[in-house]
Amino acid sequence: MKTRFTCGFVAGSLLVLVSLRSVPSFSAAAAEPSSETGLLPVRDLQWRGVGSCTSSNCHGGDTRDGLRGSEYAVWARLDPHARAFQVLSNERSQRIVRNLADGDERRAPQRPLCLACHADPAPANHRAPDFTLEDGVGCESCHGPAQKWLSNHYLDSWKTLTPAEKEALGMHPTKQLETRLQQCVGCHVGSEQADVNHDLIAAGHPRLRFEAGSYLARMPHHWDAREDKARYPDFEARAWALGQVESARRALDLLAARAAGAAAGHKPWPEFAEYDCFACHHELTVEPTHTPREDHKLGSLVWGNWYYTLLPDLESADAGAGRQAVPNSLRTLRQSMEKPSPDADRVALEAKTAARELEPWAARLGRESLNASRVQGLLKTVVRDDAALAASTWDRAVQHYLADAALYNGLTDLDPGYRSPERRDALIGLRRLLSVPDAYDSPQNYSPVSVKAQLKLIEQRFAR
Amino acid sequence: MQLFALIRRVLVPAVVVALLGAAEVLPRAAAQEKPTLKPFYYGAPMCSGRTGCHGDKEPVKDTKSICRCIEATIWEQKDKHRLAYDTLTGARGQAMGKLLGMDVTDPQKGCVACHGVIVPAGATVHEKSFNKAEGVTCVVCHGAHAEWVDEHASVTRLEKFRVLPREIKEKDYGMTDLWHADKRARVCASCHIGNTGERKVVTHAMYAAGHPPLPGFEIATFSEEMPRHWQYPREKSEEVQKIQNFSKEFARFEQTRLVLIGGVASFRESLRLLGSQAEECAKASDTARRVLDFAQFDCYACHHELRTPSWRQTRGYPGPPGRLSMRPWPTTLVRVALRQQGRQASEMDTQLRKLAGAFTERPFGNVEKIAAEARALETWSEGLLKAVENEPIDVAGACRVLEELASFAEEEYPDFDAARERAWAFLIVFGELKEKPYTDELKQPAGKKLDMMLDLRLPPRKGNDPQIFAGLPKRLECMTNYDPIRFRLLFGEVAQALVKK
Repeated sequence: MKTRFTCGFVAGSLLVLVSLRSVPSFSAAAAEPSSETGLLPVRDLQWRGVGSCTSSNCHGGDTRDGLRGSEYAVWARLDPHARAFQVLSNERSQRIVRNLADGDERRAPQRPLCLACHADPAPANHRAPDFTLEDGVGCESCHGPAQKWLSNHYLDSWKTLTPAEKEALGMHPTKQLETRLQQCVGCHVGSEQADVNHDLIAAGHPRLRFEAGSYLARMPHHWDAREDKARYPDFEARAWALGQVESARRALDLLAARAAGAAAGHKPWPEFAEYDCFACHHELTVEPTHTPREDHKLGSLVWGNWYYTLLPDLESADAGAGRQAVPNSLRTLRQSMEKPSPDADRVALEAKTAARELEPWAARLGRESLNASRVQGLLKTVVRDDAALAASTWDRAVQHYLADAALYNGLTDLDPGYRSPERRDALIGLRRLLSVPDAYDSPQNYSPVSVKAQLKLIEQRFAR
Repeated sequence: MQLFALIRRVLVPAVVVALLGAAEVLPRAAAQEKPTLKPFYYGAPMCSGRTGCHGDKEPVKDTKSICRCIEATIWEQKDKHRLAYDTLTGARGQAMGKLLGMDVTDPQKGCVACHGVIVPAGATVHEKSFNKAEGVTCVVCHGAHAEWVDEHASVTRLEKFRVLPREIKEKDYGMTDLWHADKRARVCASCHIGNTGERKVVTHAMYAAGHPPLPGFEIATFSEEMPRHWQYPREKSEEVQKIQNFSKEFARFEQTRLVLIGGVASFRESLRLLGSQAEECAKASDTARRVLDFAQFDCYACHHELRTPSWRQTRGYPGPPGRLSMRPWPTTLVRVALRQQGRQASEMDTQLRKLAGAFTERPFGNVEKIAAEARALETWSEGLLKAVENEPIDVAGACRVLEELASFAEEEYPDFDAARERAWAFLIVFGELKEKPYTDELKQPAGKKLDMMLDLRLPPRKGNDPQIFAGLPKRLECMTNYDPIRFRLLFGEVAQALVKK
């Protein structure tokens, strides 16, 4: 079995999301969120609940005959999504609610903001009798409300339907990478209804920092990943590239919603969660720990280091020279956001514009495969980034690491001759420099100098 | 006719007497108006130059002398203020200037307001002695006026001048009465906290460029560690104590009074700075400038490593979580002053509530409300300060101050600067009560632990090195590792044990 290069420390962040301790059961009758918890348009379709999938003849097998037919067993035992609702009753969630101090007496399991991501987003009047919130993020969260496809998706005729026809019946065709990623970013990046903002983070909620390639790699697969590779030989690289664009689109939509909400007076502004956490959250030191950008006013907020750092690289490698729409729109947005008092109306417009500019790009990446030459081109562009800038903050450095790892995996799938222990060791060395003991703590000993040197080494070893 | 006679015999003389009386009063009133004093800027060599002034090597033995004649010598050789300007021309100052894109030695746009002497337009300068590179010299604290300099330097007029009350020396001759705790606090706080009107404001960009963080300011401790070039009142002869109008109570508890009055004055000056900065923001037409400079917020609200578990999340927040607030250390001694007055310490929280709300209403606060509430609190604190000034202190009172400092409210989580404020105040008051140096307790095992946690010693100058940068890594490390719960436990233990002594 081929040894895969995994992104171990990011896994910790995923696991931290869910407490593994047993928690008291919760009666669904005790709380009914509003009908506005839906993240995706569900139309007038009923959600059947996880129970409708778990027959041992369907998806509730016990994996003795392989993964197919045992999807529920894998999800229930291994997938943190299965425990997403339970964590709302743990000590941390109770502390978050206490710290919010917003005058709302409801506990976390009863709050729409929490349920938007920690349970199936089924509107209250669209739930079958067996539906229960206690299932957490269940099957229909990603696969869509099952009313119109539950009884026919196992028939031969189902295979003849196009993805659009399946979507029309309520099932999201998650075998398509772009559709799959769109389900992820709804919660893992956020939306107007599911907004993990700085108030919530300060109250105790972990920061959201989603990167598609590593999250897909670490999520326990209840499907056969070989099918992914068969459909997408460039899967690792494509998941990363498409993930960058889909995450950025969603992040820009979220920014637009935050700014519009602020202009309307019901969201805080400026929204601190938009900015680089560690530009502020670091101890005071004799010498600076993060290197300031040349175009950045000393001591001011830093925007856009997580979701947008590698978009310029992706665009220049993918689209070729001459196309500058994405970097320009981001530059404009950065200038607006890094003012001490960003203009909310202006930011809402600029963010919407930037998000729209990414749509055709996402569609194209969904359609077109990346051959070895294109993946290598991407990898070279990323490793040749200005090492000082890439190392200037932890967020930028981590995005570079995740890009390097995903593209290396992708390239070695397409061109096994590219694999080498030296390259792998260089990546492991970078990961070690970026690791923090608790995934959500700040990188107290982050050293831009060491990371820059390691990035230079990676450039050298990947320069073929 | 009879009525007319009455008016002529009684009322006219009465009116004349009244008018004469007014004539008596009016010149006296004119005499009580502050005379216009001549601004005069001089350098330290003028004070130390001639033998018999302040530049001697050994203290004068005459017990009738108010001064010891070695003040300028101490300042020249040991005081860090002497090196304040040198830090601008040194490596860090120049590096900061490069990052900020400015000449830090420019008297108009640079850093000289705190690191040197700004000579206002039209002032007379004693060219022979004045040197801008001398740092913060005598003139800054003792008064930039020719009248007192001439009187007290005159061979013929000194005897008459020296026995004048301190208030008259200040009002009529411009010699700042630095024995008056509030007056001293205003002078010190203008730099050590900041003052908008005097252009003494450290901005966040300066910190980002490399300015050491301004520590919490406890005036008695900082006076000691200048080091102090004057004697305590109790060390003066009886004759000098009489001239200077030092009461027995003042002589015995001068440091304790300074701690309490200085503590409230620091709070007032912090609010004055905050209010004036917020007012400037509120008036700005450019929306980018309608946000308070980040240096006006609590540094540690942002500048802390994110760690799980987090004591901040365990503690909770007074309003919406994750919002910025003002620096809390100035409130520390105000609570003690309230208790000294027999009032509740929680009165501080009630007063602060509206200002706190103005800060947390939105992420960078509501500048109009911050300005209004800061000014209101400034006025309130002025009232408290006057009350504290009028309250005599005795042994029992000093012990009560120590007991207050040794105890914490249940929900109190002092930050690093507030912890130092409390520890310094305690050591000063305790040292005065026992009539020994405040640093003695830091040599004991428990005091050493406290020192390790809070870096309480302000290091003395070494030659031409003020030691502020040399000591910075240790201070910042203590700041990073600081935990309010461990501080409460340790300080509570140390302080309670000392109170029992």
